[in-house]
Amino acid sequence: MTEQALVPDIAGVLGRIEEITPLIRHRAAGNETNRHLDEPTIEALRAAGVFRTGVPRRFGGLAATTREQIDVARAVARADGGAGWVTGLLNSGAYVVGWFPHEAQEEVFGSGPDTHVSIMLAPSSKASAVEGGGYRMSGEWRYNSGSWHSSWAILGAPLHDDAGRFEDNAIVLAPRQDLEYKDTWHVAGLKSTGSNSFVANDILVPEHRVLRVGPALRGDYPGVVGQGDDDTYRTAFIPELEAQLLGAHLGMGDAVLDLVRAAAPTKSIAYTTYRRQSDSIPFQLELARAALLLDAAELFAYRAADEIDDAARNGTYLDYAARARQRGQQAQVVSNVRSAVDALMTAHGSAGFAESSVLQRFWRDQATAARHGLTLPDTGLEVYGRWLATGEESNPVTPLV
Amino acid sequence: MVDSNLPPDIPSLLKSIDELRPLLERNAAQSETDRRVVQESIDALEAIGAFRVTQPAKYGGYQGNSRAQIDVGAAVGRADGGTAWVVALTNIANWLTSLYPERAQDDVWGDDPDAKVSVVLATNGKTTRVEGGYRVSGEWGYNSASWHSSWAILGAELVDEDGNFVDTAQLLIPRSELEFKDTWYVAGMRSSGSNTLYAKDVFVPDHRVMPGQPALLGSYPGTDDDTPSVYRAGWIPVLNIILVGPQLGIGRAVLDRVIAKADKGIAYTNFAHQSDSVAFQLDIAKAALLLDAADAFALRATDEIDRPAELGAYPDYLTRARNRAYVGWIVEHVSRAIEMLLTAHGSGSFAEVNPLQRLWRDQAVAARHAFVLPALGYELYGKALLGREDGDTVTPLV
Repeated sequence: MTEQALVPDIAGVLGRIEEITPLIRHRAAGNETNRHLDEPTIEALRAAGVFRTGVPRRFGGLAATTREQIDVARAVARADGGAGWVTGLLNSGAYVVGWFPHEAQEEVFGSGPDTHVSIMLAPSSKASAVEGGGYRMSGEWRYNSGSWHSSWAILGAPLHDDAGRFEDNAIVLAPRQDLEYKDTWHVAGLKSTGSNSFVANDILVPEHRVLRVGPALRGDYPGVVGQGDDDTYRTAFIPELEAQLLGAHLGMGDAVLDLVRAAAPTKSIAYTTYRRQSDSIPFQLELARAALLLDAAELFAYRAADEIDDAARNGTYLDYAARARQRGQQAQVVSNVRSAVDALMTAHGSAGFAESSVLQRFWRDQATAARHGLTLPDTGLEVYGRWLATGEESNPVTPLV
Repeated sequence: MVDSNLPPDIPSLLKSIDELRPLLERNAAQSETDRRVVQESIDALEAIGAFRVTQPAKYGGYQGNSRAQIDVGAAVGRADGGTAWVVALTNIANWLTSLYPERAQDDVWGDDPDAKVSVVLATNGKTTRVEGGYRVSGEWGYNSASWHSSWAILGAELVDEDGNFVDTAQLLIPRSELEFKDTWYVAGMRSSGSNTLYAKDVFVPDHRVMPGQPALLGSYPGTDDDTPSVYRAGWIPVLNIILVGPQLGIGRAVLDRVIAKADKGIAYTNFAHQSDSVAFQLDIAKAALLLDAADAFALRATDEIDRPAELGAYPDYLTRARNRAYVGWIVEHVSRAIEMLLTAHGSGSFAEVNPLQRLWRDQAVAARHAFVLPALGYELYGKALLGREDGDTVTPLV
């Protein structure tokens, strides 16, 4: 496929990720046991510039395109799924800050581009307007990936006016010190992501740290208004947020395919005469099918990313049809990787499930990541399918298109 | 369900297993943590005879056929995967024990009719021929139910007095003569205790040696024309098909649990209840049909094993090759159903407190048992359908 030229900075980051891959791979088992990335892992990623990917340029960030964000998360996830997921989500958080008013961006990145922001969109809270502007917010949010390392949190919150009437959904920025932290992440996969819970008890959220979902769904962001703003941030809201989840899947798929291929010339097939898996034609067919699923996933992911990025560059907002197709396509990326990883585990055989095998960690990590609410295949199909069938530019299942 | 294919008493055993389900489910998490099914579950299953499905009636066993083994494995699997694996593997090892001469069976069950046996077919044992038997040394991984068994059946290569290879064989050895190492650290089926056994120059008398070549053709040292038909069934077909019992049960357990929780909402949508989503309804239907298809194929497969045994016939190569293909096909269907159900249920499936993620890991690991891998079964069946005779170049185990 045609590779779009990477800006030198991103190319440099990708080169450094390759250099630290052995370190990340080496620390993955310990990070899983401790249920968060340890300091050497985070420090290596930080030193490689990984977490500057989504930060606006005027704060020293790389203001990466959607394609580049996918590339970075993918490269890290080739080393470890948990580290790749944290990379994707913290870069998503940093990028989304670029949609907030400049005052909020200054608060987060004013001291430098190495501030980490977690992101959790589900509106499991309530915020009520207060006199003089802003909102008071209470709530509890699970699944804050990378929360261990973040000093700010982006959190979903339904807004209410001072009479208690619902105004709009929003995502708000809250400093970590305003939030209580609960260690709740006990899950079968992605253990090292430390996707724990934040609790807010009646905290004040000033108006400049509020991003309303209604306008955002039309491509209207308070932080992307005119001269001096990076075009990179003129992306479509839901397509962009969803695409930021894809890189980790592609990277985990790459890693599993690489590991299974690498073992094939020396691994035998139990209870058969095959001394080498690579001699078995059924094995070759399984490998081909899995690789094609991953190829298709890659094509879909980058097609979606380029469509988002091209529109951003041209200053146009993707129309409903394109956004609906994006939801279908992006969910398909995740489904494809899931099927490929499962098939590759079967081709490799039972040894891949030994706790000492890195394969079983990739398998659990990818399977858990695949059930993120934003990439569930049914919702993608419902959104795309209803538009295909009716042409209607709304959907009773979800407004998040 | 009353079914004339079942031996007497198996339906009541299945009912007793259903009644134990709450207890087995309650102990599942602890069993996984301990990497050993907790004794309370083992004792309860032993009390209802769940480990004696295949034991000859003369020792008080159910003398059950392959269908009975699958139904029992599935019934336990509906509660917990690891426990089901221990039950299924013990019952198949007991079936194998019943193929040895009566003297060997008496060695195992004469004093203790509840004695359990484990089995690993891999022919890792190296032997020397001695007066009255063989001396064997070797190491065998993956002895499921190793915590609960007092005998082991282990694969070996037999040699003559000059050390020349004669045949493969399965050796029946008391656990007291074997060394044990705790090696089972795996992502799923943790409670199956599939640990490693070692033999160091252990003497095995001839009556506890079952040669491989005759067994592949349906000739077992302990059977004759008067032997109950269940002990004249095809060797590899029975060994292979019984592995799907836990699979079928785990699939049902996942379906049960996802349906039971279908009133929860769907993240990032307006659905307050999953059950209101037509897409979710389709997922449930497809998954249930996949499991129904797996059940139907398992029935057909056991029928093709148990019926010839009753008629005193040994199934031909094509039938045996097809049986190996059935197994991979069944496992593929269960895997797809579970995958689909976990996606439909959502990320909550993966919380450590949720039994769904354990059922998922257990089934996934069981699905990669070398004997059930679909590719091999399909290759054997395809070669046989094409009338080719080169299946043995891939594996003689058909």
